[in-house]
Amino acid sequence: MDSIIITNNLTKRFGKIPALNELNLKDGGGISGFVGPNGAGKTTTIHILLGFLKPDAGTATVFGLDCWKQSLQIRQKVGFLQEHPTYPNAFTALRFLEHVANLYGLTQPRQRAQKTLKEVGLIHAAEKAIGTYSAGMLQRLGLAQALIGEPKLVILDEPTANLDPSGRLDLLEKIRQLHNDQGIRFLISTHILPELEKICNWVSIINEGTIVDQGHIEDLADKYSSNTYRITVSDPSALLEALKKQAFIERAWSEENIIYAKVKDIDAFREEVPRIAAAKKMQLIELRPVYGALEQIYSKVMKREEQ
Amino acid sequence: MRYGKFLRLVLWEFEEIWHFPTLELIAGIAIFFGLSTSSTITVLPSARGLDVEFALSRFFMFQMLLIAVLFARSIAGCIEKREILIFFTYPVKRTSVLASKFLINLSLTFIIFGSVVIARALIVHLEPWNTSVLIVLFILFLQTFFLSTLSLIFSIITKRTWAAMLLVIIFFFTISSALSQLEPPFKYLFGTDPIFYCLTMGFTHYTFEDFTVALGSIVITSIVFLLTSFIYFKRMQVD
Repeated sequence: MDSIIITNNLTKRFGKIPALNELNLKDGGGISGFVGPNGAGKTTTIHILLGFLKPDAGTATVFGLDCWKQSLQIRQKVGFLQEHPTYPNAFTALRFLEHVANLYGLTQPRQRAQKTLKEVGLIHAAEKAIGTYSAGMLQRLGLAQALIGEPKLVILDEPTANLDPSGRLDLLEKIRQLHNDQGIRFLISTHILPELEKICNWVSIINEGTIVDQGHIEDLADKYSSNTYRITVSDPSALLEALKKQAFIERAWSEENIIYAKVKDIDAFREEVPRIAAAKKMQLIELRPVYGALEQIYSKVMKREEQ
Repeated sequence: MRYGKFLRLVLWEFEEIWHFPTLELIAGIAIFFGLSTSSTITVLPSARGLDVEFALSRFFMFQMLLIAVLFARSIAGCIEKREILIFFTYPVKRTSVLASKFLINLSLTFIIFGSVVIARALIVHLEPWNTSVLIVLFILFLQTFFLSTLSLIFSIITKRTWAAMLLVIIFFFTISSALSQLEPPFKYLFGTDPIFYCLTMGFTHYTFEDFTVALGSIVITSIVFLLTSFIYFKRMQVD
């Protein structure tokens, strides 16, 4: 999928303090993670994407529209969940979402509000004042207001902050479901990596206002892995024997019918393994790099940056 | 559709203000300031218009404080607490957001004090459509509009509730004190007395020049404040 979020040399300063320094961000088309330490510039970037802030230099576009000059058109297509949202406490959730639906110009706003509340599991509290909501309920309400306008892209800024573990899992599952069922793209900014790894296919890593690396998680893993691959075939013992004789293999072993191989020459390995499997008439089920968690990729990228 | 969105913003703002716990208190105090006087029944027929105008001047200070509080809470407070980001997230123009807030606060204040003026007129046996009452209502509108634009600009520039309120009060007292030192017609800058007397009695107490300075300064300054606020708000960066 093509990127719909593109920034080119995006720069933003607050007085003398640089917040973004020639940032080049793009999304991966599905569920994209935007990770980095606190103060790295994640929220500033998002605020520029939504037209809250004007960049000092560089460009930022969403759906090909300029984020500062055409933010109204962008907001028609984008839902946003803030890190610390403040909603009108005296309103009920239903009334609040009814207002929001109207601002998106939707027909039957009340029904839309009810449907969205049902979707995020808040229908039971629809008539309660927002001021009485727990942190988890507020986060669900935040997701509801981001979804009600039928967005094509949803930007979530630290969506799992203040949620308990089960609340986090529920929210992530909801995001995955929305992407799979409705094709909604997500950009999720967070510094809690294990969560992101479960649902993202793309990750952009930011540090001190600059993108230090970005790409598909598999590619990044490949890049930062220690050349160890995992192979699943219909006849593992036969393949293991064949691999041990190959010059491009440093070491090969088997664990529970899965072959692991430490590779010297990746190109030769990728070319030869399917050929060997075909020659021995075995089915090649899986061939992929063994990578650590996103956390490991992140720490390697950050370590490289420090050096 | 755009018109519908604006009305929805007005309704949103109205519902939020309606939950303001001291709104009833505000109306109560306005009524007290406007209607409390021992000589209401004995007002001479010729002085009834003046009595209504006097009622207006009696609650001016309270009106100024109320407008400063309402605007500071609704606009500066909204920016300070980052509630404004909610509105900026949805597909509505920034100018519509500000216009809805301005309109509802201006209207609410005008309705509260306008009701007091009309009640006062009825007490002194004047019909609400009497010329003097209509002139007082016109002056009340000018006064409310001027104070609203003043509060609006300070709310947007300071982005802090208390700072906005204090600046309105300090600005008003500084201007009043400075103007009192001047000679006519500049003495009557932002004054409402020349407008009332000239419109009800002709140019007997005040000259045409005094009238023009008083009316023109209020109208022009209000428009300048209003336009500046909208332009600033449209270009304002919020993080």
